[in-house]
Amino acid sequence: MRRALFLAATLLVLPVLPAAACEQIPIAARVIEGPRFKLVVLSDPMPIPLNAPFAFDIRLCDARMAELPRLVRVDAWMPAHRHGMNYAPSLTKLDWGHYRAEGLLLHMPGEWEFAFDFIALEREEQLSFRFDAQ
Amino acid sequence: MMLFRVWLALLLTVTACRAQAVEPPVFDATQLRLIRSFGPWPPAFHPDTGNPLSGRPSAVLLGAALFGEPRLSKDGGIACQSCHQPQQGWSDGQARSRGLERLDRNAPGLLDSRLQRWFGWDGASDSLWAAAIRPILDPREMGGSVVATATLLRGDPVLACLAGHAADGAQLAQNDEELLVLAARALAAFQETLVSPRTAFDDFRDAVLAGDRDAMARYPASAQRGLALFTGRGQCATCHSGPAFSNGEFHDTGLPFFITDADGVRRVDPGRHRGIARLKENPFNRLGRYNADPGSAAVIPVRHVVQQHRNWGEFKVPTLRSLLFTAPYMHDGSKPDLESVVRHYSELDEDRLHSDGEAILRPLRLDRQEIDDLLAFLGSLSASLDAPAADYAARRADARRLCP
Ligand code: HEC
Ligand code: HEC
Ligand SMILES: [Cu+2]
Repeated sequence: MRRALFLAATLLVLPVLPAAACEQIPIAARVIEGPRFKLVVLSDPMPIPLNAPFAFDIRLCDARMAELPRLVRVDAWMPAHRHGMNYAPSLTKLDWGHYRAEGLLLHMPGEWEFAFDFIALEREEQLSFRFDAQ
Repeated sequence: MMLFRVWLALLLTVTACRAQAVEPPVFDATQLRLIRSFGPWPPAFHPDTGNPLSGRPSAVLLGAALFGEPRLSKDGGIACQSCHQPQQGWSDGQARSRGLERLDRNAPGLLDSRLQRWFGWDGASDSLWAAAIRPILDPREMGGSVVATATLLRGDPVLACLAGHAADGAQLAQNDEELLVLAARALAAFQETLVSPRTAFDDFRDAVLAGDRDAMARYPASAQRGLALFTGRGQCATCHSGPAFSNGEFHDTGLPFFITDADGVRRVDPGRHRGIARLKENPFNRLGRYNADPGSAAVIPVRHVVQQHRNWGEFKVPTLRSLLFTAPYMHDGSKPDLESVVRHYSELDEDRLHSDGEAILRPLRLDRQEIDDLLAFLGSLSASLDAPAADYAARRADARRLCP
């Protein structure tokens, strides 16, 4: 019992690098190359549906552990129409550099831009990609 | 692939003989994708897993009986059917409905409402059954109560018998509130059966998909040009999308913010802004204890919807099917006919519209021919209402046979 607890404790303390998941990136994933890390985004369901809720599985890959940024916000808007979603996604940290965003919904066909906001060492940065919802 | 090779005919640009232009338009790839997305029709039935009575035939009978039941109202004179009349596309022909008092809004038709995500012009309800509770309890609509509804269902032998069948062997609801919920769920099960018939547009859409030119040619050229406008320059399909021609969400179409009472007092209808607040405080919403399937995908939008400043003055995008029967139009019933609606989109007041909202609508400045084409297209989304009305009568007769 004591040993099991100890083991669990070390598992919690040791930084588990997301390396493994980053080596086998599914073909369906969207990969965005940032200046200091790579963002790998997978939608659930696949592909991103129009006018139905979906989630994002989000991984930060190839970051130096010491400066692994924290994902603080996921959002989407339609640049041509100047409006965002009617829903606020929730963000859950699953692991180091591994998040799940729930409650996204694109209510119009056309071009959407997804934005991912990070904070690393008190510095904010944003990565984004565009998607044509049909 | 088929779609992209479909070639209909040459689009006539502005010419002298425009009024008698007979050539149908050519649709581009984006338009063809939209046309495909307006079907198939009729849509497959998926029960609402949050409502245990959804899709249950015995519950449909109870729902049909209750839909015409004036004793649900305080004065025994108003039924759902009073404002949702089968021959009026399940609306009432009034600009703003009158229950025990005059309401602020137009009664929407109920055909195809099961395809919606939100109910009411402000989306204050998140299920068809929760939307049935509001009119019963609202003092300005039917003015009923939880106790009165429960007493009626327990005390009236016919309704009690139908409720027993609807519950299908399971123990009937225990307390008054559970009986109200049972009634609402049965009303929803009934309303789920209200589906618009296939239309000339559906035949055209299927013909386009099949590449059947002879069948395509049977759809009037004017309606085809209207469809081209609807999916093209008019941008109508950005909001009126999917098989029910609604994205199920909320927009500001630049109607006046004010509604005027008989005594001349002007008030603002906040639309979706208040709708979200009312949704969140409603104990019968999908986050509440009566939802039979808290894990379903239908719960996600309810959990994540957020009130934003732009929701002020936004109203739900209505379906455009069976439109010919549901005049007058818009949430406030301010447009007496479809031509007034089309002219509204043609002459939008941009100053009123774009203050801080989304930038989709622009005045279209349509000419006479374009207005007629859009009207021909909108008209092609309606067909006879006899079938749903006859089904309703048949179900009420079945209910009487089951529980005489
Ligand atoms: C006094 C007239 C009146 C009565 C009676 C009435 N309704 Fe309605 N109904 C309306 C109006 C007006 C609206 C729009 C309400 C809003 O936007 O706030 C509406 C909206 C609805 C909607 C939402 C439809 C949509 O597409 O958004 C449903 C469902 C509905 N009613 C069902 C019912 C049922 C079931 C009953 C009987 C229990 C009923 N109504 C009784 C006038 C009425
Ligand atoms: C920005 C989204 C949007 C666009 C684009 C749009 N609509 Fe609408 N439409 C709505 C909304 C929202 C309503 C209800 C407005 C209200 O009642 O306040 C509506 C109402 C209507 C109605 C009345 C239906 C009824 O039952 O009352 C018709 C008809 C209609 N639109 C046709 C069109 C046509 C034709 C076009 C293109 C020229 C168009 N719409 C473009 C959002 C849109
Ligand atoms: Cu948009």
